[in-house]
Amino acid sequence: MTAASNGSSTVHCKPASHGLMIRPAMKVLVTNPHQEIEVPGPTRVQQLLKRLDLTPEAYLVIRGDELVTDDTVLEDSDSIEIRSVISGG
Amino acid sequence: MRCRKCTHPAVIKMPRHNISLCKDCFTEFVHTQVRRAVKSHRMFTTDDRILVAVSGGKDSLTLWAILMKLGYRADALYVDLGIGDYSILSRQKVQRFTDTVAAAYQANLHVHTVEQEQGAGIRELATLVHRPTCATCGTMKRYQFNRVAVEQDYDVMATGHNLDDEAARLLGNVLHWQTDYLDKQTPMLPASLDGFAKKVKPLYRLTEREIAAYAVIHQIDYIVDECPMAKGSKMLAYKHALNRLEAESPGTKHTFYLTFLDRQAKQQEATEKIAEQDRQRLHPCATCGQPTSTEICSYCQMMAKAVGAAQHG
Repeated sequence: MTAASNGSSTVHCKPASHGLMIRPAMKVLVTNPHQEIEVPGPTRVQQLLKRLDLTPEAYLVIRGDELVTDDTVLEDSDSIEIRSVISGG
Repeated sequence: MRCRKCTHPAVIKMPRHNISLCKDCFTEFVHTQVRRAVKSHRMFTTDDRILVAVSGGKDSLTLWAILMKLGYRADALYVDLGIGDYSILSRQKVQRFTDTVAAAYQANLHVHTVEQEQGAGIRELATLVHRPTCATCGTMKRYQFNRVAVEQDYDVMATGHNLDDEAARLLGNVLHWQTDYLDKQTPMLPASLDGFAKKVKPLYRLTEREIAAYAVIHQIDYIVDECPMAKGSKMLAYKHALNRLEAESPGTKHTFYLTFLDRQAKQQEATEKIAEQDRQRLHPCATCGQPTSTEICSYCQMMAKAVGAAQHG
């Protein structure tokens, strides 16, 4: 999938294998502000947060319905939510 | 990563305690922190009727869920502020939680609709009285929660303020040396005189991240989006700053706020001092009868100004 075809704000695709297949990337939803991006796996949770410049204390990382810890390896097939936990005015 | 206590797969790592916990051990950790907060500040007992201030957010719904689970008699009050789609969605979340979780404990939900009762939503009221929306909202919620708690004979009113809220508020008060506010920054404010409900914060030992994790684990469906009115608030800036410090030095927020409480307790019997000060300076509002330090309370002044502006506008 490419940036043009999915309309997401950021796409980091790995090079296509032999020029025939385009490798799918992990879908990541970030809340507050809402952002949908694609990131190539595999990657650890802590690397993902670092790459997106997000403070671990301010977010939870959820795979499906499950919380995952920062050493968890995320794969291309995963759907990930990075949920902001900060609230209040 | 494995749970430090039982070796099951961990779901959360908590650097401030240097532990990782599985679902069950984390749940027990959260319940222990709440029990400890309740006991150490003599917040309430299982005989007391508690009114929880709920907004549809993670903190208040989680607080309500935990109190019911721990065997407390907890009802809730939701104040519908009339903030467009945000209020519609948050009210839906509260109602759904009431129907699917609270109903099983025979707990009740009270709803106060600002547009219906006051004739305008919180944004319109803020415009009429020329005050920031968050300040107007704060006055409205404090007034309505206290009113309902007193009128409906609740023994205590509980809010979902957490460690991040309290540490950020403390940072703001210290940065501006607002020492009067420091005296009142305790997890328990007594019902110092008639018309004032006792107010408690049972989640003050838990971070926002821990509370959100509890909500996810226990499938508490809360409103994830931030209130649109909170954008650019100083509290959010303080929280971001504290989280940067926390990342560098885990435990910073915990030490900052809990050490403040320890020192406060050593310097004085904080709650007794607050109660005595309240008795000396507060009297019934000439308009509504709720306690105030002025002739007319800030809520009645605000509403009178709003009515006047609407009539002349």
